[in-house]
Amino acid sequence: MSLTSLSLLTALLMTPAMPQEASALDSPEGRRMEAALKATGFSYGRSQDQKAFIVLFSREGEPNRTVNIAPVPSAVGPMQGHLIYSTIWRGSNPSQELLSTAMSAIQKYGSPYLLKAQDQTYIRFGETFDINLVAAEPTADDPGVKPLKDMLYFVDAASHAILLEVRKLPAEQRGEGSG
Amino acid sequence: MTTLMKATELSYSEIPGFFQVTFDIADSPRKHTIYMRSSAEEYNSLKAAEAFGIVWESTDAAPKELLEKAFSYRFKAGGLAYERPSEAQNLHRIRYRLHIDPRRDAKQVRELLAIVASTSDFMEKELNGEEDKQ
Repeated sequence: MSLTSLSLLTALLMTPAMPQEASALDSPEGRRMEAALKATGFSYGRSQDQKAFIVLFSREGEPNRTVNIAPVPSAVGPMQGHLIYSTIWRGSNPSQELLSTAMSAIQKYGSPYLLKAQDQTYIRFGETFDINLVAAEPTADDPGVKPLKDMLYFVDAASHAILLEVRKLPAEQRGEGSG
Repeated sequence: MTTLMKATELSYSEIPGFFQVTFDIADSPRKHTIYMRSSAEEYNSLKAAEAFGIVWESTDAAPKELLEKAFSYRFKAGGLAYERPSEAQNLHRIRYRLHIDPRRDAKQVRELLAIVASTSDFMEKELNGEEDKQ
């Protein structure tokens, strides 16, 4: 086992949930992300609470899936990461079986997480996208636009894959929540 | 990936499928070993290799309270995954994982691997107490 002498000074990432204010959509960072979304060619909108950009994905026989894009990035080392996320389940009091199933449905990238808001618990799946990959005023040909587009596709596909695993659980373990 | 790891100038060892690096945690006697996959996963134009540190492990399944606590943490990048026993290993594990694009330069990779180590060590303390396990 090798040991590096690298000194770790500022690496902790833990942060309380960062509320995205409605005005964040129109902040310089929000406008930059909006320009990148526009360049993807996706039809996008704003969430009902005006706290995220949204892209809807349709899948035959399924309700539309909303993929949310946080307007303000978090700075981590060399990255300016915008969280791109989708809800897999929401309800109250998720069972151990539900949690362990959702949290162990490991995808190529990204991670599931829990969010408790008022009396609801949300199981979400998300991954960050480094906006530094995209030019400040991107066109469809910008080399960073395709990865953004693919990340949106990926978060939709991975969230659906986890939902399918959750649906395999017996109803009493799946709980009263829905995807 | 081997060329990139060499360019980071970190001291690492290779185990099948992974690079393994042990970091000293600043201002403490603690260390944390992290792993980076030696090949990247691809999804259309996306390409990234998982780097991770183990933050909790047990022969028993993680209880509900632990899963709720662990997965309620928010990270600016990366997140947690719960790994069940498999043919490859026989423990229940929670790992902190961050995906690193191999097209990043060596300095950035070095910085991101350090973030994986310090975040994993922080989460290990949060979930296990002060005992340094990894």
